[in-house]
Parts: sequence; structure tokens; C-alpha cells
Amino acid sequence: MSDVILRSENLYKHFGITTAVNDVSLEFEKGEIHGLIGENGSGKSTFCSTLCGIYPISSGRFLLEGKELRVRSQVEANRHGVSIIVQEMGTLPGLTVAENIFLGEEDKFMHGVVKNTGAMNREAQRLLESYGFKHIIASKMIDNYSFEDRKLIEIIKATYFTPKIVVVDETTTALSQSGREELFTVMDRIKNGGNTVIFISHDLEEVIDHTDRISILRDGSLVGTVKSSETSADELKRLMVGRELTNRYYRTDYGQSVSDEIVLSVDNVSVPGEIQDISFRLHKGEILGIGGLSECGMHETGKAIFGASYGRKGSVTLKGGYEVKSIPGAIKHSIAYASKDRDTESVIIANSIRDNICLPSLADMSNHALLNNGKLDSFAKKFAELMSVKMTGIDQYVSALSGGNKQKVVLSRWLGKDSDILVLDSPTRGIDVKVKADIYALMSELKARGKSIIMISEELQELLGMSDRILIMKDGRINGEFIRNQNLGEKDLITKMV
Amino acid sequence: MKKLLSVILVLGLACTVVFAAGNKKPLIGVSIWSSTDTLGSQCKRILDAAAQALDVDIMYVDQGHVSEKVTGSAETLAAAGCDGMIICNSASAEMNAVINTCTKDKMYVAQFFRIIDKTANPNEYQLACQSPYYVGAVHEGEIDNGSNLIKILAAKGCRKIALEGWNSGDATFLLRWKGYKQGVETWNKAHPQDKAVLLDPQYGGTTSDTGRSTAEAIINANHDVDALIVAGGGGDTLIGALAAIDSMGLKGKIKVVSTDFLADLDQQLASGGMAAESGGHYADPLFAFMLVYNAIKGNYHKPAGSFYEVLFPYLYVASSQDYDAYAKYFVTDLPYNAKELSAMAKLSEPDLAKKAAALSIQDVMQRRK
Amino acid sequence: MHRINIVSESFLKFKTSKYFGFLVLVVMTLFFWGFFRLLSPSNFGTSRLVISYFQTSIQYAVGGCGLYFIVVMGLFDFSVGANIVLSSLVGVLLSRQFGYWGLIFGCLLCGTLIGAFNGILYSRLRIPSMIVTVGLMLILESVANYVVTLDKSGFPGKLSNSNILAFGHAPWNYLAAGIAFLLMVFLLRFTKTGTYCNAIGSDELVAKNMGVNVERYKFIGFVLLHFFVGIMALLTVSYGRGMLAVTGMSSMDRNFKPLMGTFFGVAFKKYGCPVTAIVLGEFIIIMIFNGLVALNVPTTINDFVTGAVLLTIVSLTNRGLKGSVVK
Repeated sequence: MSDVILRSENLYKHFGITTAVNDVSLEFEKGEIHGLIGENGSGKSTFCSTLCGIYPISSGRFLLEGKELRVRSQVEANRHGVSIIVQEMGTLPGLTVAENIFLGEEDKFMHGVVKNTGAMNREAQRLLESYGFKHIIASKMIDNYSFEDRKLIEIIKATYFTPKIVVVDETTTALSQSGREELFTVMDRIKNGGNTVIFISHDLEEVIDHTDRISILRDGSLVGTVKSSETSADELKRLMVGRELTNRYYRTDYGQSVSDEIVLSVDNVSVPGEIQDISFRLHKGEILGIGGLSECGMHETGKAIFGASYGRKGSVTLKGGYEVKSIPGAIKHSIAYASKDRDTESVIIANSIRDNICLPSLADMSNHALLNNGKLDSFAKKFAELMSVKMTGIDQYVSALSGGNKQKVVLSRWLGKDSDILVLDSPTRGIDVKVKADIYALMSELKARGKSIIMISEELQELLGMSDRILIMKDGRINGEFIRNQNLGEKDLITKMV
Repeated sequence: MKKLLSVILVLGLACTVVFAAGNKKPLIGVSIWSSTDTLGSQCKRILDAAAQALDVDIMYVDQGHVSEKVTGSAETLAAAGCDGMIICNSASAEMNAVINTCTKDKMYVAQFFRIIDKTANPNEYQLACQSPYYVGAVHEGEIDNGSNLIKILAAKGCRKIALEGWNSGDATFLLRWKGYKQGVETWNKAHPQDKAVLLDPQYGGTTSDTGRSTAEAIINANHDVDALIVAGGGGDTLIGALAAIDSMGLKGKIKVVSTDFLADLDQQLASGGMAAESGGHYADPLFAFMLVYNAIKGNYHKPAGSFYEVLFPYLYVASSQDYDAYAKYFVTDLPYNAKELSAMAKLSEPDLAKKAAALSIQDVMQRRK
Repeated sequence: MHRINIVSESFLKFKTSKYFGFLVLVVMTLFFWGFFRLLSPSNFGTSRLVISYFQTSIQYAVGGCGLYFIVVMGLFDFSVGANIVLSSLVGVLLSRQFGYWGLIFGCLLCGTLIGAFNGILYSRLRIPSMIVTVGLMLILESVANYVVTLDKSGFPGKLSNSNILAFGHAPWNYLAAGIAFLLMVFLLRFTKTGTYCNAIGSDELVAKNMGVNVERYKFIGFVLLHFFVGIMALLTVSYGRGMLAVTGMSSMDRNFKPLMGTFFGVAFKKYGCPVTAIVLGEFIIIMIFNGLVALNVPTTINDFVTGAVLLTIVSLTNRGLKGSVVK
């Protein structure tokens, strides 16, 4: 007999102008494992984060066993019987295993102000053994354990108190096969105990095999809910993807040939633990798209090309034979890079627009180490205006700009440098449609001028709309290559992504 | 919270302005390493008495013998509106900046416990001679002082003498060290079969805990030392060194001499903690004060191309009896009362110098009869 | 082959245990002792001298323990030195009337109250701890200079009464320091404070999300720091038999010796033995100082060598990943 334990009603979550969760009303039943799938940016992690108190809800509500649930922290969520195993690292270095498991819940072991560390360690060890993780010692520092072991500890942390709802957010990607089996055992135990698991994963086969029902989100909205036993991976893909392609922002040309002139050669590039044996060529005037799931290694590939990776093997060579080994060398030889992580890796937030735009070009504009402020001002102004940066003036701090304008500042910088090769990682992430259109137009213009672009993106539409050629990566390697044509669709790319 | 702090800050600044505006008496600044340590507090005592007797305002800046703070103290006192200042600098090189500041700000300056060495610091010496605002220096015969202390130790049978300074490069320390070395040379020349050895110095800072740890390290590294000279540092270094010797159970076994009288010197002499001390020179700054006071008043006009030099005597105390006499006239009381201070201010410079040179326990006893 | 695998696995296991950390510390201590003992056997490192070195080091180790609470949370406090001075002077002043009780409670109470004051000011002003505590240092120095003027004994700031010098030597200094070290171990292992200070230092946001009251525990960190500084003041003023009031940020000199011990503690945190690391770290630093004196090396070179050794030890034990951002 099914019984609804958790319901979301008209749930919204906004981040500035972006709506990450858009009017989602969803039901979860007692004693089920409920899959939640969708593309990157579909809102599934955000939905679960609002449930668990990581983000506050913008509007709408959750009802847990008929009562409204509104929590402000994970600990508060835990006390209401809701827990989450996050995608990133959720344990704290510098603490023991036992301290991590019981963090925020030490009162169980307190006698006045004295913490019974022995009892805490013993209880933690008992839990570890009951879960089958005998090789983990409760009293040891967590720093001594691998990422996978720490994830297993997180599983205990999230489930030992028999919560009513457990969210497993893309945890399986971090686990080996045996780790995954242990996780699935825990999930089954939760289900058999009459409680509920919300399982988020990109592995559609895994989702079908281990869930009872699956809900699909797309662009923050609920597409539908299907029974796992009555669906297939193909149907799920169709439901994830099913939208009309629009040509409002993207290139409309097809069949244009790309120059034979090779400007960049990447040969057998590897970065330990991240990417393996990446090889491709970039041609003059080409827009080469690189796509895949978030952790497929595409972002690391961009860094490796720019010389920003450590321990990189293989070679990245330019047309004249110069091998890129460091960032200064890359910039000097006309390579530009815009990171996905804009605020921490691309712009200096606590500096002015002028300083941000001029920074890589200072050496070109200085006279024996002396700077000409007038020259810098006009340089910055020229390129800021070219990119139509919405600002009060070039002395305005970048921190005051919107995401889109920050990205424009980043691109202004490289326009100013007149770089021949641009590596743009997620160039339109978190940006509104108008600015997106501006950026796409710029890319087309740069292409027409013979500049070469490597565009790394998690958005399939963007890859299809702008690239002459698309490389798809999976598990750190190139898994597919597609040439631009009108019939190429998202589902073609997805087959190589998952 | 921030608003409250801002209001307090503004009020504090306003009070300072009001105070400064209402003040018309001559203002003499004192730049000293510390006005609260053993020697420093004694100097402050007599300077305060002189200021009161002469109806002069006085202000102190403690610079810890840190170079940039020494040179900064002159700027601070000039900015505070001082008409003159007296200074105990650390290294002579600092006087370059100090004299320039005083000349620029038309503030008279005299040194106490220090003099610029003509040979070692010719530029500073020249500057001092030429500046109309550098009045003079009051100092002790440091080399003779050092030599005398070695004489005392050698006479007491000490042959391996450790040395604890306070700050490396300090002008006074360098002169005293010269004196110690001279004393050892003189003794060894006269006693070639019974030579004494002076170890290289280690530096114990100006606080008692650093004084102690350095003394401990010296004694641990040289367990056959029979004497320790604590060269100076205001008195707290010596307190620490004595604590080290006491805690190591070596009181009386290692003879200690120093310059700068301790407040409990009588007890130290009686218990064997100290063998002898030179000191009692806390009145030195008084004469520098008088030089500057008279310069402000227009009574003194320093000789062209030169400056006033006043030699100040050390007192030597090597027994409880010596100390009793010293204590009566220098500890319980001051060597000059208000009447004598007022009269001193009217002396000519040569007479002032004679007055300084004449100071001794006997001199005070005579005046108190 | 199988045997080799077992041995290497066991070694890896041992390498991550606290016993390994302890072993590294002991080996380092023996190394420095052995080094100077070889170079200067007649005047360094006998059992009597080693005890002397250790006795000198414990006051700094106590301060180092206090600083650990703050440093591990990513904060800093420049007013430690000024507090040592002020608490010592308050203790001396009260000892005139109340003997040992005055000395002990004067130092501890003054220290703790300053910690509370620091903590409140830091959380209210919401500016970096480094900046707040520089301002506080100047304030405390001024207060200390005023406190000295209240001492009309004729020996301002000096422990002139020989009946209250017990904490300047064994066994009382060991007792006071021992209590401090045990208290530190207790706080780190057996209270929420230790766990939460580490958690906040690791990731303040995650800790907050785990329900840790970050502001509260930062305040507690300051209070504990200065409580330990109060103990250090008691030991320091007894050791030197007095305290000198200073101005112009000269008290900052006193921050650095205990801080060096704290660095050892933070470097060995991952082995779960920070207190041992602080104690042995300070001992090593004092041994180096005495060893160089035994070799007749001037003080200026002494400071250079001590700094270089500290940098070497901390960077070897606490190196970040290549390419990581280090602040």
C-alpha cells in the first residue's frame, strides 16, 4: 500500500535572475527508492538542497508526513528525519572518523561539559562494523582515509539515525564498484525499513535497476514521473532532452569547411586522476566544442591546454612548434583562458574593471616597468565598450557586476590581448539570454577573423549550436567526435556521454 | 559598536587638542628606553622633580632602544610642541635623524647617558657641532667604568668572566665592553702567571625573563665561569640574571657585577648575590635637562662648531655599608632638593659641568649638613 | 611477495597512526640533542642541562597551547604578548596584598578577562582578528604602563618578596605547566570545544551547516587562549622575578616564541598529538638556542638559525599539494 511521506508543492528556488527550480510539485512514497534525473542544470541537486536546508526555499513548501518542513541547516534537517549525502566532500579533515559521524550530535555522549570520547569511538566503530566497513577505525583521523572511504563514512553519518528521507546526490560517481554495492545495500535497507531514498545519478541503467520510480526534471521544471519497471534508458533520455532546438542565439550556418591549418596540437595529454591520453587538433578559425558530464574531465582538459595543470604529461604544441608548459608561456603565445569558475579563477573580484582588463597586457603597455595610467584607462575603456559591459565606469569594482557582465570583462581582457586561441570553459554559465546572445555573436565574429576557439560546455544545445566539431568526453577520455551538421542532435551526444 | 568607538575616538582627540592649546609653559620631552624599569623610573623621578621645581612641563616617550622608535621619538616630541628634548639613543647613527629633526623643528636637544664618538661617528659628530639646536651631551666615562669593574672582580679572585649585554650594537655597551677588555689587558699585563679571561658577549635583551634565559645559557655552556658581568639594560636584565644564578644554586659562587643600581642592592650585597655595582648615575639626565632648559631660556649659547660635554661620575658600591650611605641620599631622597634644583638652573655651563662632576655621596652628605 | 605486501601495508597503517607522529617528534628531539652534543660534549646536553632546557621551554609551551585554539581556526591574536605583560603586572600588584593567591588569580583572571574582551570585540567589529588584536595590543600596553604606576612598593613590577617565587622553579613550575597541558588534552579530546575548533578551522561553512555555532566557539577560543596566556604570565613573571611594562608594540616580541610551538602543534595535528608536538617543539627551540650559545655563536646568528630550523620542520611536515593555493 503506497503512502506519501514527502510532498513538494509549487516549489521555486531562484538565484538572482536564474530560476533553478521552477514550480516543482512532486510526491515521494514511504518505502521507495525514488530516482531523480535530469541534465546538468536541470535543478535536481538544488531541489534536494532546499529540502535538506542547504539553501532556503524561495517560495512553495515541503510537507513531510503532512506537516510543513522548513529547515535552515543540515543538522536541523537531520533532526526532522531528512539527511543528504552530498556530491562534494561532506566530511571535515582534522577530525576523527567518530567526530565526523557525530558532528553536531555530540550531546548524546556528553556528561555535563565532558565528552565521553571512548563511548563515541565505540559507538562509531559499532556502526562501521554493522555497515560492513570494518577496515575503517573510528578513532583515527579522517585525513588518513581515501575519498571513497570518506564517502562511506558520510553514508553512515547520513543514515545511522534511521532518517525518514535520505538523499543520495550523485554519490556513486565517487565510488568503486564495491563501494557502490555497499551503498545500494544501505539504500535497500532504508527502503525495507519503510523509509525513502531519493537517488540522483547520471547513470540511467543504475537508476532503473535500483529505483521504484523515476522523476525527470528539465530546466528546473518537472517533466514527469515514471515507474522504473516500465521504462527504458532511451525513454528517459528522450524525457530529459525533449525540447525544440532554437536557432535564436546560435549559428545558422552548416556545411562550412574549416581550414586545414592546424594551430594547436594536443598529444597524449594526461593529468593523474583527472584525464587520460587526450589527443586532438585545433584548426584555424574553428570552434571546437568539448562536452560531457560534469566530472568527465573536460574542465581539466581546458586547464591542461592552458598550462594550468600540475603533473601534466603529454604535449600541447602550437603552430610554430612552441610547447605550452606554463600559463605565462601560454599567454605570451596568444592563448586565452576563461575558467568555468568565474569568480574565483577568472576575475579578481576586489579589483576594478580597468585592472582586470589590463592585467595580462600590462607588460605590453609599460615603459621600462613604469605604467602610463592614461594608456591603461583608454585601453580598458575601449574593450569594455566593445563588449558593452554595463558599468558605472572602468574604476567600478568587478564585485558589483552581474555574472554576465563579469564574463564580458573576462572576454574584454582577452580581446585586448588579441589572443589567437581562446579556451572558453562554460562561457555562458549562469548568464541571461541577452548576454548569451552577445557572447555567441562575439564567438562567431572571432571565428570569422580567423581566431580559434575551444568551447567547453555542459550545455548540449550550446555545443550543437556553436561548434564546428564536438568532442565528447567520458571518464577522463575522449569518447566520441561529431562534425557539425543539421541532423546532429542531443541524443547523439548523450549516447557518448553516459 | 563601531559608532560608539568613533565617538570615543573623536572625544579623545578633542581632549588632546584642548590640552595642548591650554598649555603655555616650556615643554621638554624625554626620549628614553623605558620610564618604568629600574633605572628609567629613577631618571623619571629626578626629572619630574626638576620640572616641578622649574615650573616646566615634561613628557616622556618610551622607545625601547629600537632604532626606528628612537628616531621617531624626536618627531613625536616635535609634533607635540616640545621646546626641547633630552634623549638616550641606542646607536649613534640614530642621532643623524634626531639632530636633523630638531634643527628643522627648532627644538633643542641634548643627550644623556650618551655622547657621539668623534672618531667612530664623524658625520654625526660634525652635524652635532654645526646644528644650533644640538646643545650637548652628558655621559659617563664608560671605558673607565668597565675597567674599574674588571679590577674589582680580579681583586676578588675571578679569572673566567662571562659577559651579558642587552642589545647588540648599543653605543654604551660597546664603550663598556672596550673598558672590560682594557681592564683584562691591564690585569694580565701585571699578572702574566695569573691571567683572567673575558668571554664574548651574549645578549639578554632588556627584560628579566630574557635576561634569565640568556644567563642560564651562558652558565650552562661555561660551567667554570666564576664571574658574570651584566653590562646594563636598565636593571631588569640583571634581575633575570640574578634569578638564574639563584635558581641554579650558584649564588655567591659566581660573582656578579653590573652598572645600574638595583632597588634591592643592599640585600643582594648582603646575601652575596652581587659583588659590586657601578651606578647611581640616574641624575645624569638632570644635567641634560638643565642644558636644554637654559638653551630654551636663552641663557646658554653653545660654542660655535662645538657642543657642551658634561662628564658624569659613577658611584661604586661594593658593600652593605657603601649602600647604606647611598640609599639615604639617593634612594630615600633625591641628591638635589627643589631649592638646589632652582639654583642649578641659574648656573653657567662650566659651573653646571663642575656641579655634575662633583656629585658623590660625600657631596650630598656635605650639602645636607 | 605476499610477506612484503603485509609488511608494507602494516607500515602504511603505522604511518597514519598517532604513534608515528610521536615517533617523529622524539626522533627530531634526539636529532637536535645529538647534533649539539657531538659538537660540544663538554657543555651541552648533560642530563642536568637537558632538565634546565626543558624547564625554560615549558612557559612558552603553555602559551603555544593557548594559541593553538585560535590558529587552528584560522585566526590570530597579536595581543598575546601585551597580555603576558599586563597579567603579570596585575598578578605582581595583587601579590603585594594577597601573596600567592593574588599572584595566581591576578594572572589567570586578568588573562581570561582580556580573552573575553578580545572575543567580544572581534565578533562585534567583524574585522579580521589580526587587525583587531593589533589595536588591542596597544591598548593593553598602555593599561600595563598605568598598572605599574599603581605599584607603590618601590619595586614596581618586581616579585621582590622571595616567598612567592615558587613558580619560577621546580616542582611548582612543572606542576602549573603540567596542569595546563593536561587541561589542553582534556579540552581537545573530551569536550565539544576541541572538535568544533578543528571543524571550524577545516571548513567554517560546512561546520556551520552541521549546526556548529561558529561565533560562539570563536569567542570561546579567544577566552581559552588568554586563559592559557594567564598561566604563561604566571610562569614568566616568576621565572624572571618581574615584568617590564613596554610601549610601542614592543610586547609583540613575546608573541613569537609560543607561536613557534603552535606551528609544531598544527603540523602534527593530523597525527592526533598536537600537545606533545607543542611541548617538544618548544623544547627543541630552546635546545637549539642553548646549543648555539654552547658553540659561542652570537645571538643574531642564533635567531637566524632558529627561524631556519622552524621553517624547515614545518614545511617538511606540513607541505601543501603542488599548485595548491597557500595563504
